Amino acid sequence: MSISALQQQFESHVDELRKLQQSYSKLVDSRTQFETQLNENKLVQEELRLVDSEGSVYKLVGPALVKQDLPEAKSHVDKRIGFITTELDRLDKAMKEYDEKMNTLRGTVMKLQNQLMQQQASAKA
Amino acid sequence: MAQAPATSSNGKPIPSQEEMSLLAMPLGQLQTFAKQMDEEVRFLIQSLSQLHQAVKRFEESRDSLAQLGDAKEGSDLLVPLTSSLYVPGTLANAGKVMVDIGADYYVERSVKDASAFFSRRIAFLMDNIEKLQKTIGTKRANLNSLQDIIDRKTQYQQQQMQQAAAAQGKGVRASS
Repeated sequence: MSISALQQQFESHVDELRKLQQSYSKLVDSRTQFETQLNENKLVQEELRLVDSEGSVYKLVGPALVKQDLPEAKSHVDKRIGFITTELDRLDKAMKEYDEKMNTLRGTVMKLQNQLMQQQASAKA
Repeated sequence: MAQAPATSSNGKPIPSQEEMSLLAMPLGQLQTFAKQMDEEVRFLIQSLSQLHQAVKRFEESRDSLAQLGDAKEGSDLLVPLTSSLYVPGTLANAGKVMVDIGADYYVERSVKDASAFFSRRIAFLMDNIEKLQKTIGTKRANLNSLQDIIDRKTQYQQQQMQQAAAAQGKGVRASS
């Protein structure tokens, strides 16, 4: 293979790797967000458990506090936690796939780089 | 080495057994690694200060409740509309307050229960602060030993280069 073809191949792989890394960091960001939400909702779940049956629960909807039924609020929070957990699982799986893809690509890039360096060296000689 | 619980998704504490394999790694890679660890430590320190701020906010709320606890129903007060504008009012429903428990949920609680809530949150945060401080300590120690390895390697490479230069200088001509 000619040096320029090799160079081109190398660059396109590097580009692809960079794109993967960008999407990966987006996944990491949303994972952090979901994790924060999960922690917050778990704390809320814990607090709602401590509210006795005649205690009043309100939810902030826009600027207004709207009164909520306690069992309903509890089940909402439980559902929310369930949803976040599934999302986290999904993200973890996606991240693992990305990890594998990036590792393979990294190997290819390294191999191409070596080939390129060898060819360049032998072209000079 | 005692490992602090991993709090960050990419936190990889280095066991000391790996020090040997670290010595074998190329210098550039080690430096990249050190930079990553440094960034991570900075991020954790930032989180720590955020936790401290949160504790302060909860403490302020708890202190306000302590003041409110003595107030009787019907007592006069000034309600802040903005930070510089107040309107007169009277305290109604003195024993109850509305507490933001997170995720847009608010619960009506007695002053005593609300105070207990803030104490719980503060204890929770303090617990996390302690854990985070331990993690930062471990990571700092790891970073220091990594920096140590980098320094030693750099020194060794410089020595080698000097020796090579000296050997070459003797063979060909005197080099500065």
